[in-house]
Amino acid sequence: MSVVEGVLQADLRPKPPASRRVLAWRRFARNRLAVAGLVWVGIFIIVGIIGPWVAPYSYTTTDYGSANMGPSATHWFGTDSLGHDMLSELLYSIRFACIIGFGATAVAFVIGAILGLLAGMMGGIVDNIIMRLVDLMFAFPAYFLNLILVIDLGRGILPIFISIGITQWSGYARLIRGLVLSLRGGEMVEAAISLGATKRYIALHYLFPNIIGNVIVSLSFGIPYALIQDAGLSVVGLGLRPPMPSFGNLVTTGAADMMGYPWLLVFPAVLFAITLLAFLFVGNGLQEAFNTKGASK
Amino acid sequence: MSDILLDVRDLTTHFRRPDGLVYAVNGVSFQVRRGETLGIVGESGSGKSVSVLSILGLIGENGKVVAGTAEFEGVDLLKLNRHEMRAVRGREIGIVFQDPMTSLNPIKRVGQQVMEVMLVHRLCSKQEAWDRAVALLEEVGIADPHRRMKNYPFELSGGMRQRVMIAIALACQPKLLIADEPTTALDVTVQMQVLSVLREAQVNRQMSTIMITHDLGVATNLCDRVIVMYGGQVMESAPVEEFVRHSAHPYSRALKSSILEIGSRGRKIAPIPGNPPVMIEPPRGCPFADRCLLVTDRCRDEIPDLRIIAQEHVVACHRAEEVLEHVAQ
Amino acid sequence: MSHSELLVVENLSKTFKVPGGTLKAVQNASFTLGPAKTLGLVGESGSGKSTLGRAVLRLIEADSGSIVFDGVDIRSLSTKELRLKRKDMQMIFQNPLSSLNPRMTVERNIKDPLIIHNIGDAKERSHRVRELMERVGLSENMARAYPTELSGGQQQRVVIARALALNPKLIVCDEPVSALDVSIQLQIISLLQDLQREHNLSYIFISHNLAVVEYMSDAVAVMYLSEIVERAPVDELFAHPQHPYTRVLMQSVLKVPESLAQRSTFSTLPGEIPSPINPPSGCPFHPRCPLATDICRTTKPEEKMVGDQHQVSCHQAGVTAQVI
Repeated sequence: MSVVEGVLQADLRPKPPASRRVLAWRRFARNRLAVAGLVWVGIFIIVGIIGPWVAPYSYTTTDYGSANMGPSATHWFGTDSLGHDMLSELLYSIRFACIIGFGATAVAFVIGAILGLLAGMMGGIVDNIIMRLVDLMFAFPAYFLNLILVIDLGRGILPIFISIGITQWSGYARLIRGLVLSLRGGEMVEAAISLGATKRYIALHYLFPNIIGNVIVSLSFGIPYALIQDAGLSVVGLGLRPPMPSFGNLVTTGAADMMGYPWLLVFPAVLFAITLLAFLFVGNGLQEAFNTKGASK
Repeated sequence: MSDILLDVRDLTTHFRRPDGLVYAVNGVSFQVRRGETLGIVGESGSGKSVSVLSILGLIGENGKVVAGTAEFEGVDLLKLNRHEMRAVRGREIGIVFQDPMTSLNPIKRVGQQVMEVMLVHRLCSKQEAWDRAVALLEEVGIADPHRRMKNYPFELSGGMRQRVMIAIALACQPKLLIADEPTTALDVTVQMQVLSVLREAQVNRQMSTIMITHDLGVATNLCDRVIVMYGGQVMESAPVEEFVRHSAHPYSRALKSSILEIGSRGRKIAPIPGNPPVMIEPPRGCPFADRCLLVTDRCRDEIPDLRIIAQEHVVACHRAEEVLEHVAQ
Repeated sequence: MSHSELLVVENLSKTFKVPGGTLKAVQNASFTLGPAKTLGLVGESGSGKSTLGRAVLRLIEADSGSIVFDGVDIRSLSTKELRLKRKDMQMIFQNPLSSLNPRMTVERNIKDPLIIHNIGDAKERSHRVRELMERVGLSENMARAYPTELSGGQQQRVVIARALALNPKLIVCDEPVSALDVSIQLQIISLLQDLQREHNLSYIFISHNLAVVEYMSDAVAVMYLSEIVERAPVDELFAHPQHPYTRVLMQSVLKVPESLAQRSTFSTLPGEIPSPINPPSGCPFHPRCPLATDICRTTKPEEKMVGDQHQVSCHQAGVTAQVI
């Protein structure tokens, strides 16, 4: 209701500085799910960093003598049909998930940000070409393109996150272009031009700080999406090349042995599901905290 | 039948915000008589809109009426549930907002939107609603109403859209029309047209009107009685003639002298210093005290009561008599 | 062309391409503005007054015409030269909040032009900002607040301080008080007037409110449908308005009546300003003009002089009939 907003805005008066960030944090902190998600994501990242060092076994270690064992003191989460220690497999999965999730999102963001900024700032034919490319990306099934790229580039960790990144950039490009356009024609940029600012200065001090909030929100939704893509590749046997473990690989093989050895499915599936939810909750929390709309994908 | 159509008493409305409460309306009382046009004047944050929208349940989920009554023909509107309120809104009380573009449905023909309100309240058949809608569009000064019935809002100019809004508000022959800054977004010549439509509708239909506006010029030229609000409280209320001649509140007087008229050139202007109050604390003393030239210690500590100083003329100022004396000299 | 003028604009035109045709936003606008003077541009929405103000600053590139500011042909400047020239010509906007950078503090916003033009060191800049804040009436503790935390009037003061930072000669004020409360409007108007006197500023003051324009301006240009239809020194214009549109605008300013008998009848023109994409034939004002005759419908009126520095584009100028 615009009337009421008018009343509220008019009532504002300068308060101690930094209240913006404090207010944003307060809004975030009020959302309990988001805070819980943030804690989980934090743990996830820490485990991703230290996991390989604390893992009791290597993911290549096979012990046929103790294959398909249930959880026990020596193998907390049990072992699979090749005698891999599930705890170690999970710890390595988290490490690889971190690399793929953040790596793929970084690749997508870099491509998307460059193209989006170019399209938004230049306009005209450049904008047209880039946006048609974006349309093409949206029209083309990402999963299918992903398969082709993985077959082409290989199934190592680097090729996988690059290929996922390549299929994901279009969303960021469109978001950033839209944000730039909405600001570029506005009075704020007009004011900056009338002060005598260069294009570079405007991009750096006026556009970037004003779109970063939306972009961060969008990134936090991008990471779980990349993880899902990766898992999707594993389902058809085109994820990380075994024996490198990933949530996708573990869930896929676990599902095959679900009836006899349920822990092989339950542990990775639950962990993966909670992680995805945690990222989504953080994304939602950020969205509320930054008061952005439509930044999610 | 009582002469008073709407009787609002001690209305208090708060808003919740992440960083605390906003005391938007603090104990406001006013009456609307049958057939009269009441102007509520104030700046942004004065609570002029909130005090009226509160009684219709139109203040959003962060707003809450914490005290007061609002009797409309003997029924307390604040006690109605959503369902009962919907039967009153649009039927007994018509509303016109500032921005017709956001109040009209952009994907429905305007004729349909005028008819809809009559059909929702089951006033007449579809055929009859069509005829009435055409007559309404004609009444609000839309030329060629048959053709306009089939237009979408975007095909109309700003002034036309506001006329359509007025037609919708009038469709159920309400007893009370509430117009919230209806001309603020319009060009000056169009503003005059819309004001003239409102005046004619009011005269022809014998209904009551509440005109919420920031523009003292609009209020004094259109209304029978004027209420001035500031900081969520009523500062002064008087029949318009009494008001323009003998306004007794320093704020009313300051507001009057703030209006530039043609011929003001070269006149020395004395702006009201300071900024509108921030309503983040419960009022303590007169809300205008910080900006008032006549302020005393008493003004800061004691909320002035509304006092009758002439017939139908009430004012909330400890020093109202001195203001009047000063003007008389 | 007189050398005493700060700004000479001649035959400035701007056309936008829009879906469904071309929009003539400004047609053949000419005016002059002396140092420390104010030109009021008045008109309704769609009259082209904002476009004209922006075209003068080259925030919008005009299609034809000339702008000579301070002896320099603004339209022939390169991007770089123009950027430097911007120090002398600034702008104040209708909506202060949307023209400030919400991610910068008040202090940083005001400092921005100094940083852009690399003026002074950190200490001098801070000192200058304090000075400006004090001058426009902002208290020091607001320096570290963000624009959203200020009231509308305070925000507009920040915008004014920012525009003043470079010591400009000309400020284009686009509806600087329209979005503000009545009591605050007067504060800003009086501040702008004081600053004009202290700094010998020239203003182009754009507004839809004729009373405000009269109060502020030395000369007034009335715009209707992308054209300046009447232009005169302020006293002359208000004493002898020639164009019927000017007279209607004058009557549209509501004043507080002294008695019921003096209340406005709200009588005014029929219709609304037509679309500039399909402007009417002949005189653009003829469909709404109560004095229109056949010649008005067919022939566009030439600009003619009707008094000392008083120009009007109307076939009926001089007809002293009651308009409405």
